[in-house]
Amino acid sequence: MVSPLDRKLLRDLAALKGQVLTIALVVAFGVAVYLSFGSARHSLLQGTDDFYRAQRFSDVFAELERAPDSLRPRLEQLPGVARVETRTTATVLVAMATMVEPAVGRIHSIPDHGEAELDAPFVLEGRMPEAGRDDEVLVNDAFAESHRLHAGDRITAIIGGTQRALRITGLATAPNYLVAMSVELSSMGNERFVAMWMRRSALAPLARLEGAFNDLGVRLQRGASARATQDALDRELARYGARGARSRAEHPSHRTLLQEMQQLEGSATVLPAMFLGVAAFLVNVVLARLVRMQRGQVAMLKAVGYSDRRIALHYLEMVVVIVAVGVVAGTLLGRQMAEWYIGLYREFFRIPNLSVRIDASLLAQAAALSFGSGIVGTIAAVRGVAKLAPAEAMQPEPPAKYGDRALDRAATLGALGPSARMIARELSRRPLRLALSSLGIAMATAILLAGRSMFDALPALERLIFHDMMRESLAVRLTRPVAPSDLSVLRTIPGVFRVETQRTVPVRMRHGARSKDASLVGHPAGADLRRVLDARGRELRPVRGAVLLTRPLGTILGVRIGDAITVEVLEGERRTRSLTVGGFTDEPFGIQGHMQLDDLYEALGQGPSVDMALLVVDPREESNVIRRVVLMPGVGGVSSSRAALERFRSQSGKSMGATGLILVLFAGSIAAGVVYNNARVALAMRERDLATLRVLGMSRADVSGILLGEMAVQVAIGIPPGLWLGKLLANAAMSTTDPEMYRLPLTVEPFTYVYASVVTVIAALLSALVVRRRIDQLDLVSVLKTRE
Amino acid sequence: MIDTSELRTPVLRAEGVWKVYGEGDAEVRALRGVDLSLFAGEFIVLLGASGSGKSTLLNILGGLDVPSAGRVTYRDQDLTEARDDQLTRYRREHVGFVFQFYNLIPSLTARENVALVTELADDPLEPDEALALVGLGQRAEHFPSELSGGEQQRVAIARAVAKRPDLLLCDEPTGALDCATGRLVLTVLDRVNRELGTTTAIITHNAPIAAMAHRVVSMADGTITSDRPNADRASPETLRW
Repeated sequence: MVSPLDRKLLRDLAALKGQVLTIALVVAFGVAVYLSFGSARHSLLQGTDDFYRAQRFSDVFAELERAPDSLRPRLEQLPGVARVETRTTATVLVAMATMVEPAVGRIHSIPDHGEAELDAPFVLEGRMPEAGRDDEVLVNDAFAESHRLHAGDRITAIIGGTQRALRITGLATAPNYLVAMSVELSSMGNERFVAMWMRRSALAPLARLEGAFNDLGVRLQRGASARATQDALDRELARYGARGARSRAEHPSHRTLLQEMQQLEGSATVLPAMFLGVAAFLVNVVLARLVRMQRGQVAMLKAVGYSDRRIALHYLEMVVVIVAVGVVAGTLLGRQMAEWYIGLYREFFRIPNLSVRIDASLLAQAAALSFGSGIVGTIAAVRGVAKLAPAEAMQPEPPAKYGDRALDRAATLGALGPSARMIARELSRRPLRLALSSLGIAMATAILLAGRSMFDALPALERLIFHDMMRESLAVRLTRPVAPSDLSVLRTIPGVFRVETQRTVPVRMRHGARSKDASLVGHPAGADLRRVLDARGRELRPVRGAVLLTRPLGTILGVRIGDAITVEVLEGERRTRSLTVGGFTDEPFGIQGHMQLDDLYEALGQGPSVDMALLVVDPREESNVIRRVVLMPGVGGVSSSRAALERFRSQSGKSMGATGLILVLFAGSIAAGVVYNNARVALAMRERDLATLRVLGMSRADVSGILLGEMAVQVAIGIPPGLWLGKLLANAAMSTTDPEMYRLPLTVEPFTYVYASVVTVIAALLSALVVRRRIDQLDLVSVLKTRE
Repeated sequence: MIDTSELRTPVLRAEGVWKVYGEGDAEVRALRGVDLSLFAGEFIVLLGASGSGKSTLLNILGGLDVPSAGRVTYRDQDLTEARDDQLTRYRREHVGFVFQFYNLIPSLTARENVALVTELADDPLEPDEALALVGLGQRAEHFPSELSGGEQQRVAIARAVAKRPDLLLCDEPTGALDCATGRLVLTVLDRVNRELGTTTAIITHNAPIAAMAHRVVSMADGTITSDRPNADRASPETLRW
């Protein structure tokens, strides 16, 4: 049999359904965010681990110019090395009919028989290329998907300067291409980046690497240090043009994944904490009011012999039910969100069998946190139960004491109307609640502001990249350095107005005990198409003998302007030179140094050579120019700034829509939860006062004004700190990104301040309207007849 | 007639009870050295004006409050020394309360309100039995809001007596009711006293009610001004006020 107290519980909950639902919703969002981010992170982690193991992801990677296959046994003797796989790789360009620019990427060898020992591609569709066939390739599935390519399709590619008709035998993903993208912003996007695999004996002649290799993967012995092996490899491979071995942690695909997981972890902590904090506060508001309203009932229960503990438990059970509703709804929603999230990830992270797993421990954590916050919110109410002396409680609650506070009698209040005076006194009566309510509102505003400001960075970033930094129409990347005079042919192409060149070399920079691998870019004197900027957008020009460093690189090396650093070139003769730090630059991507081209030649100990041409072309001739350039020998890629800008805009537009909607839902639930519950509580506690005012002749609007005026004050107080808090939150979110990969300027546009404020106000207004309907329906007679 | 109080041992005894609220200027002496004994099976009426201290006395007798000075003993148990949980147990096992404003739980039906108490008791009446005793057998499924004031008060009485308490303490049980309904409620209390033998104390400012008591105690200014037996008990139906 259901005990009478449990019946009371259920009926009270039914009577409070609006409040139960709004609180449960806030809990649900907290749980959903916790579960979905947590499980997405878990799935990524697990999926990646499994895949790395199955496909034998290397621990250390090295690229070089060319080394004989006979070197391999020596490499296997190096300290820490368990296994070495030597490979051939080349730049590949694929012209697609749907794109102006060719897709760029890498083609890798797989052994002639069987599977790769390390970094083996995983065939998702079709089959491996047959041994002995020189026209068969595997293509990475992200690229294939974005161009609707399938096994059996034919494509034309330029490999090592030679155009080849190829047949796709299958689509694949690989551990080194889980994030299949170029490090260059100009060739970002699945449709612009291609990875291919070909049997080694077919690829070697195309790459002119018969009997030789230019790429290797290393599996380390258990417990071996990657750093020691990298150093050994660097020493061994120096004379073969090695560019510095990289550990897994430095691998771009792996690094991007790690960063995403870190961000998920951050979001999975901050957002649920905000939601559950608000939920605890709302539980507190609603329960405290309920206990006060039920003073008589509590006292009667005590009088007839129910213990404090039993009555407290009764109210606690109520909270448990509310939170349970939230946890169940949050679990369902969280599952859905996790699915959606994983769906998004599949586009970027090509991990096969990436599935949503909400494990019991994660669910238990979410539930424990939710119930914990609910119980915290109940403490005050339960204390109220214990404090209530049964005899005193039998008397109606005395009118709240007014007049003992400065504000109650403040002269300034005299100037206000009676409604405003009532609002001011009521609010000053409960400063803590006012503060917490406003804090809740502030959180809603903050979520909106922080979320939207992520997109505010984009126009600024767009301006910075496409207007201030990259001023060329086309960037032509060469597969290997050439003499500048070799590029004069570019000027003869019709439609080309101007040509500038650059040279980039891999280097290891040292300062004291610190060192970092980065690239060093040489700019010709008077060059102007690629500009180097500081944080204020001012152009910095490298002076002779000095190097400009990307600011995080300066931090890593611990240098100040005027310090000397040692730069070891990781190619050619591997010269070492000392350079003075001339300043710090603030470009948003990568870490590099900039210097004058002549200085770079000196450092290299070579005559003039360049590996990039920047072109200004007639926009009407752009596609013709691209078509001609692609076919020129030694060209490793062409990107159009205009096409890159379009991709940049369409990408950001897509994610903005979905994210915007979610943030509005999140923030709306908090704002509505705070305003609705506060208004309902205020209404319930003051029904008699308000009805009395109506009886005395105040209009419905006057009376609503008093109650909703309080809510308006809470919202008005909450919004400004919310905007500030939002900026803080955006900053924190930004700081979880990997500074070595990219740095976004934190900009908050005026519109975003307006947007965050207006959406908060709308959510508050909508919930106030619901309560206003109740004020309008006050039954004056029965309210006055019933005793409190 | 022999004064019965001299012959029997009291169920509940208050000796020199003081109750003081507040301090200094705000000090209120609600009770000033009250002595009172309640005997098994008797029906007493405590008369007094508003502020005379009668509610305070009743709260102390019922274990809802503790005196500032003096002693209250229930049979052999000293209530003044009792801890909170002992008072809770005392109320649960021995005392039934009827309040002026009924204090029913609005979200529970009449039967469920009574069951609230029978759940806690060792040998209670069935909720329906208790409701029948107060003449509300037909109204068991109704919520308080669906009952008249008199009916609500009778549910409260049913709730109070359902656990077969030793003491039934009623604070202005007719205070919120009209005369006819009030008589009905008093009739029910009289019936409970006679049929179950429950020691019953009613406090009221309404002097005519005293006519139905075995004994009438008058209070003023926190002291007992008179304590007289009533040999000529009137039937509650005949009371007028």
